[in-house]
Amino acid sequence: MILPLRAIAFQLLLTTVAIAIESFLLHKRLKLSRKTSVEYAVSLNLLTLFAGWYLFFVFFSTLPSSIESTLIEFILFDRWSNQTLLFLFLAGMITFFITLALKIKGWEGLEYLRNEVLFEEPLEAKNQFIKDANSYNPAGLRVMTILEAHSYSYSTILLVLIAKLLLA
Amino acid sequence: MDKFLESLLGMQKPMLPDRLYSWKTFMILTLFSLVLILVSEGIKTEILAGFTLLFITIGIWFYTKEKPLTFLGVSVNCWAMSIFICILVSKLFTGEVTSWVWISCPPVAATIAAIPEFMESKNKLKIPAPEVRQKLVIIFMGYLVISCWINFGLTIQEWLENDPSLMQQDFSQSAFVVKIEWEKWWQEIVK
Repeated sequence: MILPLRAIAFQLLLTTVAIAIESFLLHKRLKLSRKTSVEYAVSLNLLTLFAGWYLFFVFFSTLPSSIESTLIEFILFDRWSNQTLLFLFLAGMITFFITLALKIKGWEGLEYLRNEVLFEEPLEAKNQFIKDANSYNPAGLRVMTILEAHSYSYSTILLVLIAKLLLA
Repeated sequence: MDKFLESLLGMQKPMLPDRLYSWKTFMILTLFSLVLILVSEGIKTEILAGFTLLFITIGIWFYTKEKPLTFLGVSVNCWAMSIFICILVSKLFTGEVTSWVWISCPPVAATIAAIPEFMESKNKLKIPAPEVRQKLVIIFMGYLVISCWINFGLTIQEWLENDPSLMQQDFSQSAFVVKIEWEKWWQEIVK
């Protein structure tokens, strides 16, 4: 019987690393409590994991059979071809932006569900912002922090994957 | 003779339900329908088997309300319920739906786990508190990811069925899958 246990174990490991990095950054940059930042990081990462799998299943059923068979070879026997490399590169690029957008939108949804406003914009700051766009902007800080955390965790995951490729 | 009857009744007592809606009622119904399956010939046994599973599922629901099941300190009530619901559904609708049943097992478990949070009293609904909502989001997302893993496993089985020649090749290089030979395991356990 063929079971995807290695994929599951590896995914758990990578997700744990990503959650650790992201919650640390949220705690540092946004001054959230440790519990809150871990909760946000866990929910957003699980959301992106689910979305990633969903997209994989949807796209896989639409692929032409030649690409499909090369992907099957890659998944089952770790056999590479130029086509798989190109496909993986494209998938990596696209998932970066899709998951970033999901995290930003998911953050808003989570704030609504948790019934808390983490970034109240005082009226003064708003007026200041209209006058001078470079001044402190809480909503912008939030998106910047999500982008930073996301890119750090994404590059770490890529580094781990490359290290695995080189060492294996 | 009276004494004998009394002792017989006394033996039955722990088996008898103390009220109507108890898990023991449904266990007795299960036993009854099992006996019917054994006895009956000519009647469709599938219907009786369906009823047996239904009684077991409802029985588990009542049992877990009295004594929560735990596995390694984690409550597994919702999993027991959802697995039996899934078996029930796959028995009722045989055919193409079986893979869907296994994929939907974790979300069903999450739904069952979430039901008590939405109940204020017996007949009253409520919206859970924000902290509970956060917990529910994490549970739902985690279980959805688990069902994605199940779907991935089933997809791999589908590939292998479509192309049986894949099975003869070496899987040890793969970064995704492992080959598990249950026969070997079983032999080692038996030995």
